[in-house]
This record gives sequence, structure tokens and C-alpha cells, in this order.
Amino acid sequence: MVPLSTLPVGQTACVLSIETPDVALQMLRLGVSVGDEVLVVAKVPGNGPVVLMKDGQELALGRDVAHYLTVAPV
Amino acid sequence: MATHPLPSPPLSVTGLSPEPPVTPSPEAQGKDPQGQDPQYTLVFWPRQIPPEAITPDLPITSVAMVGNPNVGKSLLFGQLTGHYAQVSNLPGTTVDLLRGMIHLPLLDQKVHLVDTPGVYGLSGLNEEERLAQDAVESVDVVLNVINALTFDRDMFLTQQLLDHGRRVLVVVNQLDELAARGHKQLDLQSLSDHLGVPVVACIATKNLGVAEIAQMLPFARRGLPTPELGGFSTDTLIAIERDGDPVRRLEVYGLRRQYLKKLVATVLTATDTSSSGSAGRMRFSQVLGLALLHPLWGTLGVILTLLALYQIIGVWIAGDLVDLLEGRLMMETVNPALVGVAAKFLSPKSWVFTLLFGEFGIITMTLQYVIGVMLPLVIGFYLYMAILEDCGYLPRLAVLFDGILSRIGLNGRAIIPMILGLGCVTMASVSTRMLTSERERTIASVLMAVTIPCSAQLGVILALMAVTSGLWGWVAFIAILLVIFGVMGRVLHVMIPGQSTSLLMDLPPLRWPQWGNILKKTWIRSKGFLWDALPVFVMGSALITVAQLTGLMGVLEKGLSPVVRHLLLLPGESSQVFLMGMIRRDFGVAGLYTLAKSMTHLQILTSLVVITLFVPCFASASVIWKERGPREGIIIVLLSWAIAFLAGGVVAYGLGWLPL
Repeated sequence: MVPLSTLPVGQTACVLSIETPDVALQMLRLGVSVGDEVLVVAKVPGNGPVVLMKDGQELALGRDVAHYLTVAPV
Repeated sequence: MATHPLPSPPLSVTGLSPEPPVTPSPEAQGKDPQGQDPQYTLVFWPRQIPPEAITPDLPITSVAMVGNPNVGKSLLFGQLTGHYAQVSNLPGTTVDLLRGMIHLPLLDQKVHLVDTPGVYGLSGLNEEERLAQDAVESVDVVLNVINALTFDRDMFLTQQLLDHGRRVLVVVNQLDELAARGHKQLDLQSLSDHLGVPVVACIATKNLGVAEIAQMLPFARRGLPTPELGGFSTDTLIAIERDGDPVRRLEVYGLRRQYLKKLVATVLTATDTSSSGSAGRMRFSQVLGLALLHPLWGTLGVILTLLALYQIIGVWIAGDLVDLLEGRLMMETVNPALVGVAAKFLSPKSWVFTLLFGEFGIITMTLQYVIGVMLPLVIGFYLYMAILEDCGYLPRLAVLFDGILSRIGLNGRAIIPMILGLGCVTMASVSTRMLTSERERTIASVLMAVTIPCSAQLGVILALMAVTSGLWGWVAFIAILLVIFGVMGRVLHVMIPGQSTSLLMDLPPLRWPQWGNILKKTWIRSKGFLWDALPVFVMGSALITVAQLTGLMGVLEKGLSPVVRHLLLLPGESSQVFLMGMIRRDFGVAGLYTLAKSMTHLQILTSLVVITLFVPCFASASVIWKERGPREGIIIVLLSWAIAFLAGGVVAYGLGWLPL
């Protein structure tokens, strides 16, 4: 159980919880909710976003948003 | 259409025939979306509804088109109404509602069609969602467009519309793309059964299924709401989702999503294992898309993009083409000929002659600068931007710049209005609405108004650089602007209370630019530029001539010239250029063009920096005023004056050592 922001590129993980309801709300509408498997495809250095892939669709999460997602590496 | 035999017309003109609109042919589904198969079914009707119940649901006077970003709504809107909407591969491009009329063959009447900004749901989370929600509430029927490739995500909005009791017609677009990927198949009949509303299959880029949408619209109906949300009345649900308590809202969303997971699993299935091998393989566009986010390749991408911009706009267009048009054509051929002809009818000493053909003559100046210098540059610029926009590169830039922009209180999304601002600040000021918070909108508006040169202006700057200081001058100019951008952004970030939002966006896939699309967009924007610039130019040159003839110009110049001479180390006459810049920034730079021949390279750089930072042009100032209110408007203008002269002074006194 680690924050999403700590995962390395290429790691697949299962979303366990999303901390604030506001972020959870938006993630849910973008197609990611608790229990989904996501793949980290890029991390931009300099405190840049984490980019996830789910079902071939890419999602960019600002670093602080990525802190709010607790995941379990698969 | 001749190569795509459509199923027999689904509805007779009376439309009240007891037969279902179309007999679904299961063997055709997901098999050949190219339309070669004459059996390919485009219209699906929920099987549980008995044929005798199929009647148009009336009245229908207005329709709202709703869908996630990047599903192909804008293109469809154009096809349905015959109007052109700006299409781009980028979230947040439709910030205003577009309206058109659509003809419904069944009723033989025209009804209103409203295109709404792309949204992932109707939750009032930002300006776009509120706009879309208001549109949905003000119409009878919702035309919900879904992209087959992002089916899972798009279904959230669809189910939300059904839960809210709207009359819905669902259109599934880009079925050809799904088939091309080959590892998933969408059962549209089953989808229609599950939703309880008619579904139309569509490939908008091939104009397939578009006529069926117009035919089926009167049959839009209330569908099956989420069973798990049965405890809520429609009104309660709408209230909770619009601006309810986040925790309750999340509860509703969670239940809906869970229901959708099951629904999607039934409707969207993996095809047989023989093709599943290719499912794991990445497509070229995906590999490239990821490379553009890589620290090394991504940076390289940005540098190449800028170098290409410099080569195309700065060297080829601003150098060679403008030389030909402005120098050879306008200054050496057309203008002397016109002046020669005019001199036969008018005395060159008369004020009418000076007004029309003098140094700042309405006709001579407009021809020389608008047609000779700006138009080729603006067209080149818009073309380049349209290509970047259309292939989906801008959202990736947003990701790359998020870390940097977050230090000045913005997130990566703000790069998009900034880049559009390079085209025209007037247009981009409106697009700051796509930013989430008021705070971000203020920061972005101020930075854009002050530090970002617009394409017409940048064009003249590049043209000037091409004949004087070249690449180094350009680098110095950009570096100065970036420093001011950074410092100002930081100050605003610290000074403005509140918190900015973080980046959370989906990245549309990269694609080959679609030329028809790009040329249309370039044409419309360039036309818009001419429309904006011409009257101001005509008025501006008239004003300057009148001011010169009456001696007013001399007085103003005298007043400003000590500042110009002592603070900026420029010749006194250049104060005229700054006065011109107040009317339109590019107008000012155009004035500089003539004066530059007698200036040193450092003086040119100083004047360019001042005039770039100087007041936004009249048109953009009025838009900023409208968007941001009078208080902020006045502050922006005063601030840009102060910063412009201050920065100019620093350049004049501090950068003498540059190898320009």
C-alpha cells in the first residue's frame, strides 16, 4: 500500500482508495475508480505529473493528486 | 454515399408504421464498419419495447448535443447543421455554446441544435459543465455522442442523463477505429436494450450514420435509470449531483459506476483469442505519444517544435516571403504605381493625399503592412498552430509544463490558452475560461496580456529580426520575456489569495493531422484576423495622419521623448511608435519597421521588448475588460505600462554586452 506518486514507470497497480471526495469524483468520471488496475506510463521530472494508462486511455495526474491515490502494486 | 448502401429507410415519412425502425441483423454487428457490407445496421432499437409502442415522442423543438471531450461532436454538429464548428483534438476548445438548425425529415421541420463543450459529466465542477448542464435543462431532447474507443468512460455521462430523466438518443461514433484496433467488439443492440433508448451507429468522418441521427431524433426517449439509484427521485438526484455535498455525490457516483461496470462488461467484449495477440502490442501513435512525455525525448520534441517554428515562420515566411511581398511587390511596385496615379488627380500637398497616400496613408500603409507583412505571417502562424492542435500535441505539452507552471499558481492546462495567445490574445482571453479556478484565470489573463506577443506582432518582430539580429536577437528576446513571465507569475501566485487546482486531464491519442480540418480552421482564423485588423489599421493610420497634420502628434511626442531618450536610450522619434502601439500592438511594431533602419540592434531589441510588454491592443484590452471586469482591466493596463518601460530600461542599460 503506497501512494501512486511513488510508483516507478512501468508498474501496474490496483487502486485501493482515493483520499479526497473531490479527486475521487473526478477520477471516477474519467473512468478510474477503486478496484481498477492502472499502469504508470510516464513520470515527468521536476515535480511533474504522473501519467496512467487504463484501457488504452492515458490520464495525467498532477503530482499532488497522485499523492491522494493509495495503490497496491500488482 | 453510393458505396455505402444504407439499410432501407428506417422510418417512413409518416413514421407511425407499426414496424420497428430497423430489424437488427446480429451477423453484421461489429463485423464490417467500413460499410462495404450492405447489411451493416446503423439504427438499434431496444428489443423490450414492442413495435406498436414506437412512435415519435413529441414535441421536439430543441436538441442539445452532449458528450465527453474529443468524441467528434464538433464535426457531427457541422454535418448535421451545415455550420462549421472549430474541431480540434484537444479538450476545452468549445467554450461557448454553438447553435444551429437541424432538419428532421420525419416531421419535415427544422429544430434548434445546441453544441455544448465536451464534459465528462454534469456536476457543475467548472464553467464548461455548468454551460452544458444549462443547455441540457433548456431543451426537449439530448443527443448524446459516445466515442467507441472510450466507451467505458463515456458511458458515465450517458447513464447520468438517463438517471436525470432526459429524453436521449445515443450516437456511438468512431466505430471504424474500434474495429481497426481489432480486439474489442461493441454489441450495440445489447447497448440499446440496456439503456432503453435508441442507439445510432456512426462514423462521422465518413459521413456514415449522420442522416440516421436526424431521422431518429424524434424517437429519443426516457431510458432505464440505474436500478441502484431507484431510491432517489429524479429531482433529488439532479440537486445532489449539481452542487450537493461531495460525500453524498460520491456515493451516487459510486453506485452508478458499479452498475456501469457490469453493463460495460456485457456490451463491450473481447473478440476471439486469435486477435488478442495484437491487443498487447502498442500502436505507433501510442509509442510516439509516450515518447513525447519522456524527459529526454519530450524535451527534444519541444526544442524541435520551436526550431521548426523559427525556420518556417522566422526564416522562410518572415524573411523570404515578406521580403518579396512587402519589399518587391508593395513598396516597389504597387504603392508607387498607386501614388503615381493618385498624383494625377490630387495635389500631393493636399491633406486628402496625405491621408490616403502619405507616410501613414490609409491605403499605402494598409497595403504595405496588412497585406505585405502581417497576412502571410498570420496565415503561417495559424497553420502551424492548427497542425499542433489537430495532431493532439498540445495536451502533451500541458503535461510537460505542469511542474513548471505549478510554481506560478497555474497547472499544465494553462499552457493551452498561452499558446493560443501567441495566435491572438483576444481569442485566447476567452479560452482562459477552461481553467478551473478564478485565481488561475486571473493569473493566466494577466501573464498573457502582458508578456505574450500575438502572432501579428510576433510576425513583424520576426521579420525585423530576420533583417537585423537573427537567431541571437530572437533568443535574447524570448529569454527576456520568459524572465518577466516567471517573475510576474511568481509575484501573482504569492499575492493572490486562495489555492490553485492540480492537473487532472485525459490525453487524447495522437493522430495524423487532418488537412481539411486544418485548412478550414486556418482560413477562418485568418479571415477573423483581417476582419479585426483592417478597420483598426485604417482608423489608426487616419488618426496618426490627423494628429500629425494638426500638430498634436508633435506635442505628444515631445512629452514622451525624454522618457524614450533617457530611459530607453532610443531616438526621440520612436515615441511615435509607442503611441501607435496603443491602438494596436502590431500597428506599433509596423511603425517600428520603418524606423528600425536607423537604429542599432540593441535599440531595436529595446523597442521590441517595450512594445511587446506594452498595453495589449485595443481589441484584446476590451475583451480582458469584458472577461475580467473593469478593476482588473485597469490594473492590467497600468501594470503593463510600468513593466514595459522598466524592462526596456534594463535592456537598454544592462544588455549592451550582448553579441547582437
